[in-house]
Amino acid sequence: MTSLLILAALFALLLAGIPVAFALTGLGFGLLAVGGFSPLMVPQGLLSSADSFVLVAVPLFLLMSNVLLKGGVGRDLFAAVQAWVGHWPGGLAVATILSCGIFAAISGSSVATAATIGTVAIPEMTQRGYPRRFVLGLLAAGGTLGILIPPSIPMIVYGVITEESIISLFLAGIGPGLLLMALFILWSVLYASFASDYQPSPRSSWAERRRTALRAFPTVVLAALVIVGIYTGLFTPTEAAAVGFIGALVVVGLILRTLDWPKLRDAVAEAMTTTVAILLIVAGAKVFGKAITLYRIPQDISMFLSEHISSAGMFVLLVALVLLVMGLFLEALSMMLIMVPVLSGALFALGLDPIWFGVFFVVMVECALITPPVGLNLYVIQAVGKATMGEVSSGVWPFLLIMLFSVLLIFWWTDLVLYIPFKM
Amino acid sequence: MLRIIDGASRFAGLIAGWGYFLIALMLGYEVLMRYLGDPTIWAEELSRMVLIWATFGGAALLLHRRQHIVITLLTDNLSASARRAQELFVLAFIVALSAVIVYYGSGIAMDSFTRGRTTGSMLDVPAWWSQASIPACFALLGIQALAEALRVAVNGVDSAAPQRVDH
Repeated sequence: MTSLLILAALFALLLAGIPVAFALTGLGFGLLAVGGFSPLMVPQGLLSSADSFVLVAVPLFLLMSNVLLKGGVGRDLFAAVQAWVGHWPGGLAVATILSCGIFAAISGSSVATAATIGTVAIPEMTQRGYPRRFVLGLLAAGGTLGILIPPSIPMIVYGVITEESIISLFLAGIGPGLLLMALFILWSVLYASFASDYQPSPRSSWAERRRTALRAFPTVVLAALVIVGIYTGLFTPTEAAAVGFIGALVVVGLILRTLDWPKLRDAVAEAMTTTVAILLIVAGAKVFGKAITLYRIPQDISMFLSEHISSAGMFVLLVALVLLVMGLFLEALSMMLIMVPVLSGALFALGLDPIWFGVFFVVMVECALITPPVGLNLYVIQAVGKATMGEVSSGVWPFLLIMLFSVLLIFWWTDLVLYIPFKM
Repeated sequence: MLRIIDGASRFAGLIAGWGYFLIALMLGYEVLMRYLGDPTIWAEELSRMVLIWATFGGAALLLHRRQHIVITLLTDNLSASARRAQELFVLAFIVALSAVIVYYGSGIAMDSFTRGRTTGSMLDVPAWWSQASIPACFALLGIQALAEALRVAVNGVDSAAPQRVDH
């Protein structure tokens, strides 16, 4: 009963338009005060949440991707991939997915991935006669690769909440990320083979291929350096982010020479905005989490779940359904910060691996965010593609089904997630 | 007066952004020095302290620019007068919350200051160096929220204010 009341209070505050970070902190304080616990836990909770070396990776990865973004590497990547695969059936769609995948390896956010590749890919594809709905759906879905393929901001936050290894989480995202890319590409090629209304791109000359590849090469090397460095233990994820950022400065500042002072200033300011918005929610969730733990809410919910739900499959299905509903009005991190602390206690009893659950959660959150009629990623694509919500919504369905299918695949075949971090 | 408050928040936000930049340089230097066999003792700890100050320090500017993550599902459809009342409620909530946090947060920092408590870590710096960030930054946030409330009360809600969705 108490759980329901607290949940109702939280949603009331959120729907009243109070910023998520302050709603969580405020409700946490209210619960502490009502329960007779020390309110000193509020400032302590805020402080201890931000006093984290793991979270230092968040601003650094954002700085890295923002600097590369401002330096125009999104355009370079797309041009290079397009020169190689653009003449295939559905070649531009394939190039879009591959670009999203590569950009995902330098960016930890699905919005940034969709927006960056979308800005170059949407005009190019519509010009070549690809149906707008298909294009918009493709980008809404392609963007989700951003938080599956490492680095990934939501995975860092998941690791902080559950105290799981960020390295394992990052590596666990690679398999499903590649799987999704393959499925999206397969669908695009199939779609294009049956569609008659688009013109294939001409085959690019070898000179063109070499020129564009050379331009994209430093960025790809940088992305590889970050992932390989984390994988081999050359540096921690946080240090990898710092090295990646300095590398990004070298790539766009010295090699490509596309970064100037105003662009750097913008990149820094935007990274600050996103970081502060994210980390304040993390801090608020910490206060809220402390308060509900004192009320024994997570314990009660775990108990309830283990009494009423005996199979992992039922639990996973239930979580998936709840996420689809929450995705109607919450964004990815808020969903994660509210639900994961409450659910993680039940994982062990159900025999679910917490790393696997993290990846499942991330894919599911993304599904929730591209499920029409409402979803934050849909809004972004709508803005970037200057489209109506109806167009985006009707285009995104096939991709959403593919993503839900991939959730089924990783449920049945957990090695898709766990092989790279633990068995390789 | 309002301009001074906006200016202070903007300055804090600017420092926050370059604070993150500084962290990247410190940790890049740390990795380099480690492989040269001479790791630093300060980079990791200092980067956490900068993270704390920058994160809470940026809160006021984000409020001024309405860039905090907000659920607009219901509030988007309100009439102008209802929207104004809702916005005033939100800002009053933030003012009250900030006041509470400043009150209890300054207690913790003052206590550490008077007792000369240190972090007990490698650098063993005074504990209040990071603890002071909570009252200082939330005081700025509370004052900025007051300023915003005054603006909304006088001018109504600027419906053209940008809503960002980043995560």
